[in-house]
Amino acid sequence: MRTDTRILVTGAGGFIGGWIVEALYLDGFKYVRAGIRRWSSAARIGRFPVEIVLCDIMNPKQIDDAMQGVDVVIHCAMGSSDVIRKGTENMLDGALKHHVKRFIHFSTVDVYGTVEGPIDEKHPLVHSGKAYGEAKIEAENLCWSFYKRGVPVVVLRPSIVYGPYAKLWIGKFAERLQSGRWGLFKGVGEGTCNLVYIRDLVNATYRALESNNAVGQAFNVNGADLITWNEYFSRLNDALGLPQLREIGQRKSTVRSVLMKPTKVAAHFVLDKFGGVITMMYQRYDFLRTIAKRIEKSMKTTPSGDELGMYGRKPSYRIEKARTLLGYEPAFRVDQGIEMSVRWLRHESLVSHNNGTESSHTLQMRVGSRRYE
Amino acid sequence: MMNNQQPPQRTLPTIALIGCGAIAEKFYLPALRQFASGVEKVILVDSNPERARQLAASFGDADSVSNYQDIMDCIQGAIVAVPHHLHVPISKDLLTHDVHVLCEKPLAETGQEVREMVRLADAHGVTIAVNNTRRLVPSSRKIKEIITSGEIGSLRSISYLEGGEFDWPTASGFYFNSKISRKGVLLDLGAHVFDVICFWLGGKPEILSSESDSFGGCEAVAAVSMRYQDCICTVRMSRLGKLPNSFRIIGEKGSIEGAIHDWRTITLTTSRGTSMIDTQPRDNGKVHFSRMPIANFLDVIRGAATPLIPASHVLDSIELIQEAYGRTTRFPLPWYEQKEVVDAD
Repeated sequence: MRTDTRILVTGAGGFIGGWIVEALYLDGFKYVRAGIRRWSSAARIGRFPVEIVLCDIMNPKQIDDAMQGVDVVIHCAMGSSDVIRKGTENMLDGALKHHVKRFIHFSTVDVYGTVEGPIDEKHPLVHSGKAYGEAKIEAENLCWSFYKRGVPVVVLRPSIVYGPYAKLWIGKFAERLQSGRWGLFKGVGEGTCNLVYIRDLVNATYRALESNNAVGQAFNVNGADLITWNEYFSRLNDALGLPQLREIGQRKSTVRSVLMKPTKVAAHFVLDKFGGVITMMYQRYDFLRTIAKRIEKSMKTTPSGDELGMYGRKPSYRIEKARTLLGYEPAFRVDQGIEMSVRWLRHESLVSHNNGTESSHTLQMRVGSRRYE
Repeated sequence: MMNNQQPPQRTLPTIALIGCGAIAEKFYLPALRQFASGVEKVILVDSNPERARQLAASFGDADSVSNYQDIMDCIQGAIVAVPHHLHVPISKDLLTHDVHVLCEKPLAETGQEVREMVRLADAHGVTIAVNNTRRLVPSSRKIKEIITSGEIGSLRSISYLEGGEFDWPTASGFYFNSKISRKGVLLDLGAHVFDVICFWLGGKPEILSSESDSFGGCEAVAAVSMRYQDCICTVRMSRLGKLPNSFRIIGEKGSIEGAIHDWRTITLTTSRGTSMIDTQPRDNGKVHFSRMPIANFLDVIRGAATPLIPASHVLDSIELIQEAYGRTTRFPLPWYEQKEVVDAD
């Protein structure tokens, strides 16, 4: 692809959109326009001298402005179900009006529902009742309807995307592992963890932009290794230098999850209804702060029923189609991806440098690789 | 041109609030409301006239215009709360027209700009102050007092860690517009952090190293190490993730620790033991420290006070930031160096 291609990336304030903007810039693309919903999400991509524009995908005027002169749209923006559906429709409308030469739509393997076994793109999309997957199916359907009207759409269905800046699959699990309350879920965590390293996804996106065979097609994008969830927890835990994980029996993990559910519901209800009062009391009373922090920690470190279900399932998203038509080949092994992710966590001071034996203040007195204290 | 020694004015001043962004709405307008009895009129200025009108209406008895140059002859003071890169040109313009200025931090990007503004203010018999409130925080002042008293002995180290996800509701997004400025957290948050460190030290340290994550845009994480006499200072600031938001000052005879956003309590450790100190002054019931610069500014315009934080007081910190930028190298960020890695396995 020519480096003077004019590219708009939506959702550039997020993990995947941000990575795509950064990679495009670093790979020499001269006209990268980063679309964000609000300025406060621009701190990360603001480090790169790219054009940043407001592009709330629910705002047709902002979309119209953002698409001026654009050759290619990479649509990564997310949101509620309504935003996924209506926002994607708005973007496709804009792409049609502005005659974009390619529209890459980021979908998800969640469109296959909760089925197990080998899954390729011929597998029917399954309405699982989960809001995210349902909305993404509707967004894909919109893509195909606009494809018929002339928008050159390519749909990518990444699996579990991880790497530096992944708050969900890296940041959240690092926090859980550091809490000492996480473990290996015996009998529950042996399902398949379909990890794809972010840079592999970026490379797949490049190929979707370049390939003559891509338009009108959907592609699974998965990583190089298939490991279990327990293996993932264990490898991330090792990379963080934490003590070996203990096994948590199936009964115990299920009971904890069931017991935590009403706590989570109650906490959300109380925060929704009495957020202001709670915040005021939280600031004023130490004992309330202590209690709130304990509840928060328990909630964060107890997997939900949905999560336990995911840890037990064994889907395997096949990438032969992407290999054949796009020439995509995942290059990063899980251990490489985890190593880079942990280096990022340490750079951001999100984890300890030495197994938690330094105080949080002291350990962060490092200035890059130097240390003065 | 006005005389340097003005008698206190009997009439109330008309002042302009230039820039109607988030800081104006969240901070300056509520403060001006509190001190409304000390002002004849407030004029709100913004290049977006609708935004200026909207805030003027919320204030009550205020006018609005879209160009500050239209009102320079009818105001005695102006609060400059525009994007950073406009602080210097607008402040200089105002000073040249004999208008007192209270400028939002960072006052400038270079020491030369600060000196030029001070020179202009002197030449025109007006003042330029800066809203660097952190040195007014009760805990900061107490720390200065403890250091000066020699209670913890000669300083050995200061470490200062401040960071969180950027959530300032900026309306214009100028913080991230690399066409306007390629300076990020080091200038923005650094204006507070370096100012308070210089305030504690009583002088300007020399830069030992400076690192950031900028790729030519506005850095989001910065780490700077400095030396002042025998004291090593290390600072880390982030717009991306939460840092401990704490500081630690170690002297040869004791130490002081505190949380950056707890403006009241510090922990002092000396040979006599460790104690928590409540630094909130008991007689400070009327004006919150954060609003002191504005109350003071109104007194300054009336000729009844001198600026709490004149521009010259932040010269050290502005020069320090300037020098840090001059020395900055990029952190090792190896994940950006990876493209396609072929693994032998």
